[in-house]
Amino acid sequence: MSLSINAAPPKEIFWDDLIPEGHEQISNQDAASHDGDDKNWVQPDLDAPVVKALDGKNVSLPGFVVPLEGNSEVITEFLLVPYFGACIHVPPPPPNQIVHVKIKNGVPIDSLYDAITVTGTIKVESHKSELAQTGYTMKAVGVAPFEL
Amino acid sequence: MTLINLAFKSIINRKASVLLTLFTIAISVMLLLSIERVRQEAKQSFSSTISGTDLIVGARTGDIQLLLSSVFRIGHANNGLSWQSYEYIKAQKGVAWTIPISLGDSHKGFSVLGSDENYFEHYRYGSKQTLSFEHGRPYHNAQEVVLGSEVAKQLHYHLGQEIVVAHGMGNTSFHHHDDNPLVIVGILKPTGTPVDKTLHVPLKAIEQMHGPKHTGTHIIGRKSHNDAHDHDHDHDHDHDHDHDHDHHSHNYEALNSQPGDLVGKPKQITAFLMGFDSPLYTLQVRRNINTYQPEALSAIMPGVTLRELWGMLDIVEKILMLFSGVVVLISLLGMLTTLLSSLNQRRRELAILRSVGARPHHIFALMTSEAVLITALGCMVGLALFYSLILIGKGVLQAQFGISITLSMLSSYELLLLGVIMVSGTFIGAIPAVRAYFYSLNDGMSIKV
Repeated sequence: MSLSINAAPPKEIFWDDLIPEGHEQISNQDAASHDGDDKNWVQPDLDAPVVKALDGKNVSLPGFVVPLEGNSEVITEFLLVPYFGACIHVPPPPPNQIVHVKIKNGVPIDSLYDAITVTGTIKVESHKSELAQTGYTMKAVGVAPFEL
Repeated sequence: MTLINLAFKSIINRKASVLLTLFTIAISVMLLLSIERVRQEAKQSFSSTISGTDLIVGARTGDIQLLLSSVFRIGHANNGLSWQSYEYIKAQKGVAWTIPISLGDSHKGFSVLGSDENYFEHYRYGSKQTLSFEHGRPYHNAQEVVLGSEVAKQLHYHLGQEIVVAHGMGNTSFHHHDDNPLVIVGILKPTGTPVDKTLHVPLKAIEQMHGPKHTGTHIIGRKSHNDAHDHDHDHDHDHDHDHDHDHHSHNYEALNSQPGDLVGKPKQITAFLMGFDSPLYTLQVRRNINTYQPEALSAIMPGVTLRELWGMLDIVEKILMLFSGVVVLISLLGMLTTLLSSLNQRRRELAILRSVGARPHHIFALMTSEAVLITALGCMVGLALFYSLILIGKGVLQAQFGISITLSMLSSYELLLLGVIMVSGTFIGAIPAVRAYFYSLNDGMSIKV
């Protein structure tokens, strides 16, 4: 898939870059207790701040896929998370460590166990709910297997 | 052209063995195409059944089982979840909508789904398509039912008709809720999903069927004795037309009913679907539901669980694919055997051809075109068999498994498969052709045996 929409090559970012400098991120493992505590019905560290400077930037970010929408062949909408199993047996990451990715024509993703690199325009989006939560969304243009 | 003509005539001359070979190829082609078609369509219809739902919540069970029972109506949920838990989770922050689902009842083999008005508003299939109505409207009170398109079609139901829903799954049930008829107020457009085979009723209607007055009072052979169910008729709903409900004329009367309570006071539901303000909530809420203390619950993300299901079925798919591939190979080897064994008998024929001026390459072309002709005819007959099989099997697949197979043109993948068969047929045909190429003129002329 062509990445020539933006003249400049996408900036490679990592998950640390999504946390503002100086912010003490609560460790994932401590944040959600194993008991169904009322307090963390939504994400731990809910007001985890986002890096506003990233808004509208063309970036590439590696991560794991949690599929949301798609058909039998391709995935058109997914959550990109920093570690595998975020949707299964470990506490989920705080909102600034999840990117909601939409890709127009979808990508075939064979294995959820493999990391991928997503390229696209990242946006800082706030949701209108009373929680005043913000998070990242991305309009992806390309997905490639992650290579170290 | 003469060569093909010659090849054709030569085939006619040995029609018995050639016909058998042709049919072997035809059957293997049919098998390969059918397996591929069913596999793809099944996957397609599964993945288009649910869309836009962030979580499905039910009593604690396996992920795949919860998905299959709640959305695909395959198997049964072993347990329900309490209404209190549903109300509690529904009230949490970030929850945009919920659709309660109560399954387990049936009407003439079609499943009955109890829900509320959110079902018609928020349920999505395909690529986020909403349910739309062919006729009528959603239910407004507990005496109304909305049919899936397949239900209406197969049972020849129309708007305004009254039907009775039975307790338990299956075609017949001795325990009929015949004291609680429901009026058909809506028929949905076809979706190609299990929705087509479902009767949608309000939760309250389900509750009324299972109400305390009914449990245990119906015994096989005994007629219903409770005609006066005042609690069923607490709405100002005119039921006087019960006896002439075959006339269309009064349909509209029934459709103008008063909106009433849809939910009632259910104790349990089978499962519920959830949507959030943002999909970012999904992961945490899922975890919270899975660790919910008052009740053992499971929450699944449909997208993830579908992929798990594909993963499980992957090996089965591969084995099926392998088997059908092997069947094709065997049929082609069968053709090779026939061609090779006929080669000895045809030495005389080939020698005569040589003697009248055919060059060795003519012989080669003749033999190869024979193989190509057999394979091509085999593929064509196989295609015809394949389409007739789909035509016959379509109804059964739809009725039994909810898989809708379309009589569509061949996909590029299926054309590729046919191409592979043609090419391998040609190559296999080349083997006896090469042998024939090297037979010299006097080989067939001199009498040996």
